[in-house]
Parts: sequence; structure tokens; C-alpha cells
Amino acid sequence: MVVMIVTVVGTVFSVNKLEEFVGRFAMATGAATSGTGQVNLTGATNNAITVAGNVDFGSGYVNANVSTANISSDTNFVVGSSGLTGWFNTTAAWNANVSTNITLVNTGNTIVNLTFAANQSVASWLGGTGPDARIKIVSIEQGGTDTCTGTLYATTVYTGNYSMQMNATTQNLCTSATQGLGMDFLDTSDEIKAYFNLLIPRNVASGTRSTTLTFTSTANQ
Amino acid sequence: MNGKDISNKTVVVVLVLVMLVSVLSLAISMNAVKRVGILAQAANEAAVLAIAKSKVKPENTGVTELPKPAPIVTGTAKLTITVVPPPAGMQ
Repeated sequence: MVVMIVTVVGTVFSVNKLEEFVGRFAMATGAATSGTGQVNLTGATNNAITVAGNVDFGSGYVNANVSTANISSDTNFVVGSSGLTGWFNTTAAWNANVSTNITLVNTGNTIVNLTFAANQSVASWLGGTGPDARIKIVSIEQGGTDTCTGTLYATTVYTGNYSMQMNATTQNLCTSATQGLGMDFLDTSDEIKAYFNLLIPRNVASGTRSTTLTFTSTANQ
Repeated sequence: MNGKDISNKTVVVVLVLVMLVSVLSLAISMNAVKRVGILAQAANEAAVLAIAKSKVKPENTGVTELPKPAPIVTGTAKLTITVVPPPAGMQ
């Protein structure tokens, strides 16, 4: 009787232990229950600018009392021969009291070098004796900061001189040899305005004259 | 020899021996189960480690260089002026 009891109790005990083993190692498959993944993030760089506006000085003629007329698209810069602009405006298309400019905006997401070139020389565009055409730019955006973090080759204030002469060769407006400098793309500093000044000789032949300016942005980041 | 020749003392001794053998067998069985458990756990950990190693690639496969942007973008604008002859009395 005692032998039977010991045997039964021992069997129950062994089975109980085996059940523990099964419960503990039921998932002993060797499979990893956790792991790591990889996410690739590619930030595409976009070089883009917009060029808005065309400057039309309208029509007029050079006054007889001056040899050249000096007209400007910047209302704060009106200087002519003998203290006069020397230009008689005959159309309402261009008003000297209204500032007209070309607005350049870096709409991409990278800093760029900004250059420009006319499609012809000033002599070819205007004609006459001693014509001149100059550009200046304003790089400080209204309510923002300076768009040009590189070297600004034309003047940067409204009252500044038109220091850069236009011609058919490529010229720097806002550029840098250092990567990461140039025309910025942030919303508060991505805009440049270009203004123009013309020196028109009195012996210019009549007619409508146009020249095309090409602005070029090259990624510099 | 028949049953009457076996004394009660002898029966008791045999039963005690059977009990001892049973208990000893039980102990051996439990010890074996325990060893099997240990071996199974070690095998499982080794397998998990081997699989994890086989899946992990230590090299950096991420992007380390931004793609080159469009090199050049251009935009154009036009400057225009019209020169008309001055009035006859102004020339």
C-alpha cells in the first residue's frame, strides 16, 4: 500500500514538473521576438528662382537743353543733366513717382549664386552718343533680413548709386565662392529687387527699344 | 519453497527496498527534467542570438550625401523705353 502511494505521488509530482517545463519553453522556436528597422530619408535639393516684373519706362524724349537725360525706375534717385532729369515723359505708362523694379525670389530650398546678363550691349540697345544703363539691387527684404549672405556686387540701399553697368557679359549680383553663402531661400530673406537707371543721349533715334535680362541662379550649397 | 516459508520480516525488507528504489527513481527523473529545461533554455538563447546576428548589418546604409541640385536655373525680364521725336519747337 505504501509503495502504491509513493509511486502515485511521485508520478503526479513528475507530471507537474513536466507541465512547468512545457509552459516555460513552449515558445522555444529560436525566432527573434524583436528587431530593428531602417528608414531612409532623402532631402531633395531644389534650385529655383522666380523673376517677376518688366520695367517699361514708357515713351518720351530728351529735352533740348540737355545732352543726355537721366531717368531711373527708383523714385528716390532722380538726377539729370544740369540738375534736371532732362526727360520729358509723353505717356502715362511710366510715372517717375512710381517705383518700378524686377523682383527676384529664391523659391527653392538651397542657397544660390545669382548672376545676370543683358542680351546686348547698352550701345546696341539705346544707341546715340554715350548711352549708359545701370542696375542696383535691394537685398534687404521689407520686414525681413538681408537676402544676400555672400558678396553683394550692386548697392543694397534704395538711395545708393547705380554702381553696376549693364552689358552683355555675365555679372555677379549676389554670389560667393564659399559654399553656403549667396542668395538665401528662407521666407524672410529670399527676395531681391532690381532697379534701373538710364542715361539717354539726345541724339538717340526714335523708336521702341527693349533689352532682355537673364538672371541665373546656381546652387551653392 | 512456498509462501509460508517467507517470514513477515522478509516481506517488510522487500517492501522497503521497493520504496527506496521508487523514491530514487523519482529523484533521478526530476533531475533529468531539470537538466532538459536548462539545456532547452541555453539552446533557445543561442538560436535567438544567431538569428539576430544574421539579420543585423553593421554597415551604414543611410544617405550620407545629398543629391546634387539642378545646377542652373534662369529667368528673364525685359527693359523697354520708347523714344519719340520732340515737338518741332523743342528741337
